[in-house]
Amino acid sequence: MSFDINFISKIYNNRNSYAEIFEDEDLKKIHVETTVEQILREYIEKKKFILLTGNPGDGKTHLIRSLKDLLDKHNAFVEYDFNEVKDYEQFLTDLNNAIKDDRPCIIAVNEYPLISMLDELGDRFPYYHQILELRDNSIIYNNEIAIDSGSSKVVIIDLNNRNLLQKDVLKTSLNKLISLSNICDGCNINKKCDVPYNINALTNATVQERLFELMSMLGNTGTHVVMRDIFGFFSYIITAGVTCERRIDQEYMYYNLIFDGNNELFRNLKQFDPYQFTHPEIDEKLWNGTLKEGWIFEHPKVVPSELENEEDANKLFISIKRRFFFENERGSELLKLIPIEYQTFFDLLKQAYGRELDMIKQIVLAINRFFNTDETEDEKLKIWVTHKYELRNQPKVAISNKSFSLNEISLLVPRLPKHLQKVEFVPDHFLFRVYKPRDNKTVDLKVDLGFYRVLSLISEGYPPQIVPDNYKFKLYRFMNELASFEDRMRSNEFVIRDMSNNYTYKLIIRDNKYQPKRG
Amino acid sequence: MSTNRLKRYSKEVLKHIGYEPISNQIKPVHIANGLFRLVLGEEYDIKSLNEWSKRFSQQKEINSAEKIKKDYIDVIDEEMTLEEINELRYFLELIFNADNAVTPSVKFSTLTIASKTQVTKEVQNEFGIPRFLYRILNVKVDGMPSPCIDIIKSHLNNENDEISRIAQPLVSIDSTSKKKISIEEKDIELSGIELRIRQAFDNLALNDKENGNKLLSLERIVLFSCFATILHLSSRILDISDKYCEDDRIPLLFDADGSLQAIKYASQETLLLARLGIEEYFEKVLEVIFRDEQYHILTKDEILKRIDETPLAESSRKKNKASEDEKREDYKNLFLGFYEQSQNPFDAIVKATRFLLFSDVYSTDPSGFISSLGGKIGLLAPRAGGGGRKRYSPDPIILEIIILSLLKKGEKVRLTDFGKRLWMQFGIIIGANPEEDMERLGKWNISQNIPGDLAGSLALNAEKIADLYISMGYGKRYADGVTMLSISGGV
Repeated sequence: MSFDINFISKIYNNRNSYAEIFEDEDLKKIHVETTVEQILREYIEKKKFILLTGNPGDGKTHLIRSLKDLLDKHNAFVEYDFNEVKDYEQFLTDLNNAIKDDRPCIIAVNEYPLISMLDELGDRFPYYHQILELRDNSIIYNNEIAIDSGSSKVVIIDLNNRNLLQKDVLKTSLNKLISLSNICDGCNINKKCDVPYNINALTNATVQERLFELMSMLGNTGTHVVMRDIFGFFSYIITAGVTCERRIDQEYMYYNLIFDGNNELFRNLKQFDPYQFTHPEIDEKLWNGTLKEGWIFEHPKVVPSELENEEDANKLFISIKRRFFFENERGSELLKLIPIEYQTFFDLLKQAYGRELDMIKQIVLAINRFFNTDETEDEKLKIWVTHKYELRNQPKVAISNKSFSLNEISLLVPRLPKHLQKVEFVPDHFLFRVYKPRDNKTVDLKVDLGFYRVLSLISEGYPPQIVPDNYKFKLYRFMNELASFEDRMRSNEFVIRDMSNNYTYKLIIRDNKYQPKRG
Repeated sequence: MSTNRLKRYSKEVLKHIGYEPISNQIKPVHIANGLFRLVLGEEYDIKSLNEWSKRFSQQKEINSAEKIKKDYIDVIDEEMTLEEINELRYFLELIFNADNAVTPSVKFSTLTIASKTQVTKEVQNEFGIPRFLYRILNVKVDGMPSPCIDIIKSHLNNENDEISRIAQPLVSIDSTSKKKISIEEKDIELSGIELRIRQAFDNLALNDKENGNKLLSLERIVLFSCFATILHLSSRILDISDKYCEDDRIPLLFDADGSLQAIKYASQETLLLARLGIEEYFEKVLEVIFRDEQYHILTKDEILKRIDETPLAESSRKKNKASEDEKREDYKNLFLGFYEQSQNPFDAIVKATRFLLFSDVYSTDPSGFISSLGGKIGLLAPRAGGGGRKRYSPDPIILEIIILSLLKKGEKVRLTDFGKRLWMQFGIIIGANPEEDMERLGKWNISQNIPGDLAGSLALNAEKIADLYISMGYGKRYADGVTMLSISGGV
């Protein structure tokens, strides 16, 4: 069968469960297999005790249904939704019987109900202590804990950690939606309808490649989406989320719709809108209409320079530049103009350890410059102490007397434990970790993309005033925690910083006497 | 004998309250100085640090570099120039006068204290507040004084921090002049808001026990002390008036970020309630005083006659140049005004007297005191000024102190339960339970006059406060819409 295009338009921002809007047969057709299914198959065969957790809408029920044949074959204990369990005693009895019979078990449970259930049932719940340990280590940093999947009967798969904004998942989803759609054959409702153009363009390999490149960058920004969001997104960029009759009044080209929808996915995608990245040569040619080569389909017929109204011209330019990004051979040049800190951040998260030292030095310099804008030191992280009782204003003075060297600092990237490493996981932060010498104490600073961008700007010399309050709080608290390492080697030399006037004084106290450090 | 009876009433009321919240010059650092002195049981001479830190007074140099060099030759490198001495003094002032409480005269001066040798004798701006706080901390609850006391002592005796080490050469000159002070102990029992404040102090101390950063720990204790004073002043009436029951609280609506108009407005209204709570508190205390003077059996005319006989000669406010007769006339008019409203002569004299105390006797009325101190500790916004339009808009550090004073280590609570605990302990509303919070605000007639969707805004406000806690590492949000808070720390 195929879906009617009006039906597809309704998928956008539809918050209902797909189980409610699709028939079972249709659900099978739009099912996109990810590595999670492969892992689940493997663990069902091994008769493991599987807790499938995540957020509402993550597709837990759908996943279990897709494995029905295998689960039936092994006579598995299956609970599609723990929220629906009314009788805990009966549930525990059935579950324990299944374990006794060495049958695989799979229980879908949202994250918070799982915590409540464990609190309530305690060690009456099978494998209680193992579950707690696995939960505590659901995310590891680098390879600090390597859990051996073979030794544990329990497997917890948290779909919240699954990043679906991956090129292969996106490609399969888009192609499925298009292949299942009735591509408006013989439709006479609206001759100006843009849907046929959108479908045709979105089938093109170059257009797809550019689109998936943008979307996959979002995964590193902490944007979490579920399958429903992805189908909703594709539905919108094909149909604008409106019926055929309503598409008559204005233009709905996919390259504009991508930056136009109204949910978290669209909002976050706006930061990568190609029109924001200035390329003088391309921009001028697009404005004047002189860039006629390299278009996959055809070059724009109307160009901004021909329009008299400035507002209309600007609007058209934005549209043409977006189109250029997706539909011109040179479009990828705009991707290179994305601020370098994004790329550096993404590279690091992709385990590019070759850049680790450079990154540590950059963050050391940024933190040093947050307290002292004249700072050039990037080999030592200076510890700054501030102290006052009134909170009305920011501290005006900071003192530094201790520091940490680079070999006491590391960057840690989050990963899934070894037995889950096939899951599509993309980290959205890293830890800047400082070690206390001699014992195992550490202090961590969690850096996400937003924080990294700010630190990056500070390291380049932008004033610390640009740091938003929440990040300031983090930096001060990080310093406070580092300052508490009391047995840290200290010197008799103090750097005192007048933070309002950007002025530094170096003082030495020797033999109970004040002495300025000159030079 | 005082020639102004109002002054005598004022003294008696303040004695009953236990401290004097009647100045906008009271700073957190003054409260720190007094509390630390009482906890240590000793005070220090800060003459040397003060002379170095205060070079100018009204743009005139009061301690020249020549004098400093001559008087302190033992702590200065012999090659240090006068210019270098002054440069160092500039930075010492930034450090030790970080709270703007250092004055040319050591008698009034208070340093930004890092350790015991910077704790000085009582200064006027303490206004008895530290003694009140010390009393709450020192009284035995479950057989023990507050763990805060030991923590403060231990932090003040530790002189390894950078600031104390910078002070060391100067402190070593004066530290011989340490003086023991004696503290009068009274057997008291805490109840109501005082007991809840004490519990919160104890919890804060236990949570901060392992915090190796002594300066941060001292800051938190002092900021909480100021918050506790504001809370006590506005809520104590609930404990001493028969009008209220045990579960009543004066609401403090915390506005997350000022972006929700309904919350902003309602928060301002709750601050007004705090002011009314203070007025009622003073009136309740005055009632006791006036009963002793048999006012409760007097008729309206008899009270008017008493006012005629009341000495009102001096005024502490220079701007009030009215003659004694004119003041009596004002007093009577006020009395009659209140009498018109209640037809109760006793109630009217109490209210009229309270009004005159606030307007004519105190240099800052107690409402002005909470407004000023609340801004200084980052509890109210705008932090300075703002007139009557201030609201509860806590700095993240205040939010952090509040969660540390409320939750125990290892405890995980849902945002909704946290909201209930905030209410029961302090009367704080964040919107975590919108329906109950609306009801609580409604009980104080706040919800009716607020423009916009207050119920909807309350839920949004709670989410914003939760976001702040999450970004500070004190919470986690699950997609089921559940937010869990804990103080286990985070990154």
